[in-house]
Amino acid sequence: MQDAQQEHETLKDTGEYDAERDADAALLARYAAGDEAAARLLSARLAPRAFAHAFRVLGDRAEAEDVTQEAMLRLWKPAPKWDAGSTWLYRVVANLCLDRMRRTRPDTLDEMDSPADPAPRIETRLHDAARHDALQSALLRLPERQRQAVVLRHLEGLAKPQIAEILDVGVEAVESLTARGKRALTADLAAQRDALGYSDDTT
Amino acid sequence: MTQPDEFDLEAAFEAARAAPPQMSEALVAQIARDARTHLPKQSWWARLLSMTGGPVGLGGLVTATVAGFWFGAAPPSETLDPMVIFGTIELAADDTAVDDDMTYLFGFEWITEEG
Repeated sequence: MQDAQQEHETLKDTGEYDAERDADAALLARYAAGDEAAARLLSARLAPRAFAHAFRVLGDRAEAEDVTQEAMLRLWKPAPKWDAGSTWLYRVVANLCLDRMRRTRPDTLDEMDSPADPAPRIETRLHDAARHDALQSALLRLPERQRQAVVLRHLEGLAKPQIAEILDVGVEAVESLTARGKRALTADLAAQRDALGYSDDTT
Repeated sequence: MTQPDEFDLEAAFEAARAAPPQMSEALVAQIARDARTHLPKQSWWARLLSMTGGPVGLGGLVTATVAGFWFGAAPPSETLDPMVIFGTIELAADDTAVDDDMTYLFGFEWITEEG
C-alpha cells in the first residue's frame, strides 16, 4: 500500500519535473534568440532555488551569493548545453559548492561545531528560530554528499530521479544518502536539544 | 516527554521550507546585469519578425506586397480606376452602361451640369 503510494508520488514528481524541464528549455531557447524577457523569467524561476541550495549547503551568505552568480553566469554564456534548466543549474551549483567545501573545510569545521549562543531563550518565537538554526548547523556537520542529498530532497523538495541526475548517482544511492543523512541529523539535533536545554515538546 | 534519541526532524524541515533563504537585492540586480551583458544579438530575421508582429504580421505584409506587385504588373479593367470611382475623370464615351451607373452615384450631378 505504502509502496504503491510512494510509486505514485514518484511518477507524479517525474511528470512535473518533465514539464518544468520543457518550460526551462523553451525559455532558454528564447534567451538564445536574443529575448531579454526570457532572461528575466529564467532568473526568477531558477536563481532563488540555486541560492537556497547553495546557502543551505555552504551555510554562508557571501559564498552562496558567489556560487549563485557564477552558476547563472554559466547559464547566460553561450555554450552547448541542450539540457539546461533547473536540473542542469542544480548540478552546477552542487559542483561549485563541493569545490568550495573542499577548499575551506579544514578551517571552518571547528567553528561550525561550536554550540550556538547558550543564553536562556524566551520560548515559542525563539524556539522556531533556534530549531531552524540548529538544523542549519547540524546540516553543516553532515558529510558533503549526504548534506546535498538531504537539502535537495527535504528542503528543495525535488524528486529522487532528479537528485540522482544532479549528484550523478543512482536512485538507490540517493535513497541511501538521504536515509543516512536523516538518521545522523536526528541524532545530532536530539543531542543538541538536550545540550542547549530547549525542548521539542509541545505538550 | 522528551525522548533522548528522538527529534521531530519533519517539523524542522517544514519550518526551514517555510522560511527559505532570500537573495539580496544586489545579487538579483547583478544577475540581471549579467544576463543583459551576455544576451545574444537578435538576427535580422528575428528583429523583422518582432517589428511586424510575429509570423502573422509578416504574412500579411507579404500578401499585401505580392498583391500590390500584381496590380502593377497586370492591372484589372479600368472600371477599378479610383479616379473614375471618385468622378475625377469620366469613362470613355462609348461605355454607356457603366457611365449611367456612375452618374447615379454622383449625388449632386455637378459633373454632368458642367460637362
